[in-house]
Amino acid sequence: MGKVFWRKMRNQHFSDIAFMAVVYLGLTFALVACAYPVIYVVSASFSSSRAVASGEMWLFPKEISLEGYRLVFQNKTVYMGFVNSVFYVIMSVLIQLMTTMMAGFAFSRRELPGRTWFNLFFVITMFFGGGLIPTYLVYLKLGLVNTRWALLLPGISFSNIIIARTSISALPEDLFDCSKLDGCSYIRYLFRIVVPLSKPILAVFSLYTAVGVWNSYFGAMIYLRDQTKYPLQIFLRTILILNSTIDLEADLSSEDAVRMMQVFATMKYALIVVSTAPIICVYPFVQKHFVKGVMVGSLKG
Amino acid sequence: MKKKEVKRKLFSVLLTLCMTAGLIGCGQKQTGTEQTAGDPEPAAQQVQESPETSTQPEEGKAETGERPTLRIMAAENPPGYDLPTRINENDTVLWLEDQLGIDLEFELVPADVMAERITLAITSNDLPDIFYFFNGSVNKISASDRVKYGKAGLLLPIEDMLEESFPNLYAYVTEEEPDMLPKLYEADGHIYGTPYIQTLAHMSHPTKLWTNRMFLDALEMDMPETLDEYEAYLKGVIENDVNGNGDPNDEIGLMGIANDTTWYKFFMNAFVPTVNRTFAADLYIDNETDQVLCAQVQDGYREGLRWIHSLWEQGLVYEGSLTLTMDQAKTVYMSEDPAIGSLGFYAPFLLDQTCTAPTYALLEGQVPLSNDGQPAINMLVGDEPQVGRACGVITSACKDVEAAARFLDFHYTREGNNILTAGPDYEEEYVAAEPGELNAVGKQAYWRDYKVTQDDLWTSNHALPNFQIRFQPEDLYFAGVRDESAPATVLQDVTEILKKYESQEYSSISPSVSVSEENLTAVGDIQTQITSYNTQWETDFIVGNKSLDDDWDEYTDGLYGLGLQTVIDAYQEGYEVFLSNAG
Repeated sequence: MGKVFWRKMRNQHFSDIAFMAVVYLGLTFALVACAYPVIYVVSASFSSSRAVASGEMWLFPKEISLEGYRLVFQNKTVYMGFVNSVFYVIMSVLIQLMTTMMAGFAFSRRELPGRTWFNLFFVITMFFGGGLIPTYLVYLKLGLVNTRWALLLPGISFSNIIIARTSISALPEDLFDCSKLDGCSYIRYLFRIVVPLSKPILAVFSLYTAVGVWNSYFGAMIYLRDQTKYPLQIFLRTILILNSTIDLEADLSSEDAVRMMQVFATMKYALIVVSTAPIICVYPFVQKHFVKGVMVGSLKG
Repeated sequence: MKKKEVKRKLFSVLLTLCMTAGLIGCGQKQTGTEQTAGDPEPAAQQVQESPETSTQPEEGKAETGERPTLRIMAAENPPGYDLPTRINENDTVLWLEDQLGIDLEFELVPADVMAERITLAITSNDLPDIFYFFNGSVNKISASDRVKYGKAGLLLPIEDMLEESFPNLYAYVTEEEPDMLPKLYEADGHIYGTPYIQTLAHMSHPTKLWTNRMFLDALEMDMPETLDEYEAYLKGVIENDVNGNGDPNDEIGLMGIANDTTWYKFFMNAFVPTVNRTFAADLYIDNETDQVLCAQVQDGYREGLRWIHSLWEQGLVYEGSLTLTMDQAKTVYMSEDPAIGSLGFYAPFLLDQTCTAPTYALLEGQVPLSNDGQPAINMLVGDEPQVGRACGVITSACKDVEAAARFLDFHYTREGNNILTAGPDYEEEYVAAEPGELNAVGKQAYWRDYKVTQDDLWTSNHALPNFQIRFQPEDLYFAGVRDESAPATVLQDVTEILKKYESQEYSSISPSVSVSEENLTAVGDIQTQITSYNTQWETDFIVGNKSLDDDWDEYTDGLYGLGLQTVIDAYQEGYEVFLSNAG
């Protein structure tokens, strides 16, 4: 393989070689910039808090310790948050796919009466929002506050509907005409023909929605009062952010303050790994469709 | 085909009409008179509820149709433990409900979103019965907001019912600590909530410094009491291998961290009363004239900066003292194991068992330093005791004010505090101290040992450690017997020093004095600008980028140009209101 490589290089013009060298250098830099934080976090999760705090651990684990994982897995809130997050992801993806495909299909049909007006109503929502307080008031009046629906319903995005519409419009109209001749209704056409042919965009929507919902926390902090419904990210956030804002001198005796800081410092990296791993595991299953699906919204030749 | 098109068009028009009707229908949902902040009329008593936030008893609790229910929005502490998810099944909460005859529905909110949640609660007229903050730092209803919401009728003033409905609190603030009652009042003359209380000497003296006892002994020096002695000590640390490791270059004289000006303002007190740990305008009260003055425009402040600059020039101050964060300081400690002569900030990581650098076992609280024969200045953050106003706030949504008062008043006894901290059977959690066994401040201790740790209390869902509104007279805070064999904690050390050391005392302006509502926004803006201004100028004076002789006038003119006099006048006005409330 080395010989083939050098033979190819010999046949290249010098400017091409230089260009490739710069490209590879840039990509290497980007790889290090992206991969190093991930490697650091994973290594830190398997290292002692002393090694991490002192700076001795900078790439590979030092003073291997599973104390962080032990603290994470023995904490019931982590399980509760994990289950909640999984629930929100699955339900949000299902709702997102259902509504996006149905709306996208409806918009793709030229015979939809009032299509222009509906389009206008939806487009307005892309540019204007009510803000936090009016939105909260709407949720309150609809009885969504402190319910799981407050986190599930708001995920519907018109930009995804536009992408779905574009993709469905690209399907041959003859397909629909033939189906209609055979007595196929709109609903049946959507679910039996359009959806199976739209796997790439379904994969894209699923992944984007799953990642977005998995990482979100703000809606839960604002609309949920019952902490048994909180997703995992809230718990992660309190560990990472509030740990540094504890008024140690006023609040606690020194020993309590140190004990709390030690616990949080130890479980911090393990909790990041535990909360990130599921999403990383999902990606390989959708990658095949993801590359195709990402280009759906682009211009076609 | 035409018929089908007509049908489709009719259908779409019908659909549009239905959507519009639905939106209008949702908007018609009213639940009585609504009130938002700024309206002059008193708020309605009705609390708007959604189906899932009903105040019906939850599963696991006895049906208590006749017991009043209090909905309490509380700041979460400690973060990260699973107490918030089980708060309503907590043993102490259940016990309290039985004792007080009240159903308690806690709604815990992360402290950093408390401000947003309060705003949403007020603007949506979805107020809880009680806002509940365990101390002043999580109390996100500012003094001006309390006055504003109080005027709108959203918060209940309690000064008229204090004696009758809050007997424990009233007894404490009138008999045991009579100086405390005036501190509870807001600028408009009302009390909008019960306070958190900490009568701890070290909290009233925020500027602290620690000096390495081991190095003092190595240099055969006594604890410095004057500026000259302190400077000589730092020189001794830098010029000698005081830690005896053969490396003469790992010694650090004085170490501080960025954004905490303690490390040099401690020394300013040898020249002019100075207390602020930030770069904001540093105000204090003149003992003789009761005038509010600003330290930063006094000649003494210039001379203090000159002395600090001379330390900097001689390399006696660690170069990272103006740039290091707390995490970076910890890394320096734990990785380089430096020999630090004097520590200018409170560093809890030094109590970390994994920390191998010089710990508080070796660091001793530095006494306030005197200059040129003048008595040292001991700067107080307001005089003792520490009070945080309105941490237990009853709102206009509360249907049973008497029940809310009983719940809040429970906090203000030593017994109540012990129960909230360690559970109803707290006496079984501790080993009682023998008569004559003293605590860290030389008084009779309550406990010799704990049977359970704070971790156990948190994870067992048995008590509310550090979650309840603070009531910490000194004897409760230092409740345990002092362990003479263990190194003194930083807080005990400072308490002893400050109590025994003779000095002249001054009071700073905060926290008892508040600015009136009309001045608050302007004062806040000016202080923000002054903070940015001083961050650059004081740093430049210390490192020598600016001259204390040639540029001083420009500096002070700049402060006045930003509105310093407005700040001083606003606080003078507030202080006079405070004095009149104090009688």
